[in-house]
Amino acid sequence: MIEIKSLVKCFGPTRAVDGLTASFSNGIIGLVGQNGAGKSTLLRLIAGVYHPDEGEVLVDGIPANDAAAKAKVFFLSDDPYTPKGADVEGTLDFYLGLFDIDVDNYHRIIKAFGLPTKRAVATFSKGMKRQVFIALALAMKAEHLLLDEAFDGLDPLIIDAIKSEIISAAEHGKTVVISSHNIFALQRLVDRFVIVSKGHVAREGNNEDIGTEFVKFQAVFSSPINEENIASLGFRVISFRKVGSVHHVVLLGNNESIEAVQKAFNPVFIEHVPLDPQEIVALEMMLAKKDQKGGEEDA
Amino acid sequence: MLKHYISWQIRKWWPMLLIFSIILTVTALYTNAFTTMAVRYYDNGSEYVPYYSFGSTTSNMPSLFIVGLVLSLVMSLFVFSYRTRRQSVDVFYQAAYAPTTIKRVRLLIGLAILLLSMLIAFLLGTTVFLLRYVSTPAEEIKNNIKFVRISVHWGMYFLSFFLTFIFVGLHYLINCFLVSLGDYTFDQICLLIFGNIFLALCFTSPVIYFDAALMKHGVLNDYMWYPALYSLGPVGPVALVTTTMEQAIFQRDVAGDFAVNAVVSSSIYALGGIGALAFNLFVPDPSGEHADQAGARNQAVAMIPHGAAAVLGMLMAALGLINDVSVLALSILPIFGFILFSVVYYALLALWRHSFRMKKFDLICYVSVVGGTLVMLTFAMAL
Repeated sequence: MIEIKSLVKCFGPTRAVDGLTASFSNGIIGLVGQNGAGKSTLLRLIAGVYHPDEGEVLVDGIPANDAAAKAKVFFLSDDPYTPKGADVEGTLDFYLGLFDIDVDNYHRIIKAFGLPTKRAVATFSKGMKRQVFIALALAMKAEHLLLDEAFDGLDPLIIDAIKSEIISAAEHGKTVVISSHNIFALQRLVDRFVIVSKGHVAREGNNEDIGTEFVKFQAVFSSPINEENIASLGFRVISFRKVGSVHHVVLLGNNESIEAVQKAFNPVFIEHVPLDPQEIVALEMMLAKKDQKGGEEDA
Repeated sequence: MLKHYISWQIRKWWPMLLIFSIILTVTALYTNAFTTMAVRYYDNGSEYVPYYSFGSTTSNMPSLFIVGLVLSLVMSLFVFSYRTRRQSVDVFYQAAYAPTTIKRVRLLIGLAILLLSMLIAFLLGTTVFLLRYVSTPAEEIKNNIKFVRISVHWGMYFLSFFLTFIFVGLHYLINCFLVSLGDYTFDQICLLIFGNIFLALCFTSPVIYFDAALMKHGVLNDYMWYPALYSLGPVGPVALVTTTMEQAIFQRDVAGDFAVNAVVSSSIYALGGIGALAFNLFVPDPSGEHADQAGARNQAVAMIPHGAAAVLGMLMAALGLINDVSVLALSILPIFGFILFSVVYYALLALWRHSFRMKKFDLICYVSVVGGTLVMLTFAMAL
């Protein structure tokens, strides 16, 4: 289990991680946030690459900067180190000098990905290179894997191949934390989402729980309706969009909220629209941003 | 696991041992070839008398020493190269060892490779020297040239190598200290240059300056250059290994202050090296975010280029004071020297900071150092 308590990391005047508290236990966790939200910094703090300014990170109860904690974690950055001129074997040889790796598993995954073994990894395409390092990460004997922007710039076929290997690793008891701003890539993969915004956890929850606070509907009103009209009913409007005569609205609420809107404005047509995971995470990030803005204004 | 890391690191670095050994061996053999046959004579007034020239057996040491010093610069950059890229910091800092352990292992393997390659070069050089020695007749006249088998003081021979060996190692440790203060390759090179200048001149420049000023009025004796040996630069150790040690042991009457100064200077240098080693063994590594970041991570390190410029300025002024030593354009044309100094200083600062715009701190230091140098040069010219 990875426990993060009131973590702060500053780069000059910028608070990249700002009082973040979270815990990651077994399974696959999606760390989602916009660029610059503090995801990569958080992963580096967990891996012991950075030293925190305040707070602490515990890996199975051991401070993250201890060698014993580091042995339990492997962090794969978005731009991993490729030894000069090394092929897949040479890359393995380099990382074997520093990490405990299941060599057979590495070879198995490389074979499953169908990667060439005699070419220098540096000459590989971005997707192929990513596959080599995902194979390396998944073959690590470390119990907790931190994958930064694991699916960035990859095509859906490669993403699917990588996903199945990640699921297999999680089934073998590993905790896999995947950071991404590509929400689509994390769909049907993660057990839990943690949404990071401006250096702290904005929202978190299980795949099933997440997004249950939102309700989306589309409606056609006989008279002009705007965001304020709906907000006047006491709802918090997260998204309000009008396409032609159809209004697409997302509220913080439930089905009863739709009934209340129907009662108040007597629309010509109104129906509940289910949210897909990508939309939910986007809405969570939007909400986090609004909360942040609201907090700043209050201050 | 640590054993595994050490063996892996050695396996990765052994080509360095090969390259360093070849460079040093070629140096040793080259200098051996040209020095071991030399026999020196001195004129005692009535005749030329052969004398024991230990320089002929130890004179390959300075070249070995100087090449060793250069290789130690290269090795120190190599040891800390892992800290200059974010990608490699991500890998090395998350490995299951404390970053200080990673650093210690690299530092000590680098030292071992450097010293081992010196030892290999010395052994090969000595073998060739021995072969030449035993194959040379005790005395032979050929084509009217008298060849005399060289006199070898083996104790001296081994002692001079031992000191060369030790001081190259100490120089490496001092270089490692300087390089470890930077997280960007260009900065590390700057730190090596500025740091070595600063350490070599921080004691000596003021001493030379005041000595020169006093000598101008005939107060000081001719030994005014001796203070140059009091430094954290390798001048003292090189002097000690090459000539001073022989003088101190065999020609005590002529050794004088020079030998004493070289010994004291070398001791200061040795202390500096030990301090540098302690720093790198026990001071923890900085947090990983500094990798590939230009500029110093703390104000004390940011002072190094300014400190180096200040002592250089002081040395320029001292040279300007010494009419007898007007070997440099700087002393002949102080204004030219001053302008050159100011421009180079600014250019290096710009490269160091990755910006032509100076921060307030750098600007204050720059103006102070350049202004101070101008005042000192004016003072030197006025005298």
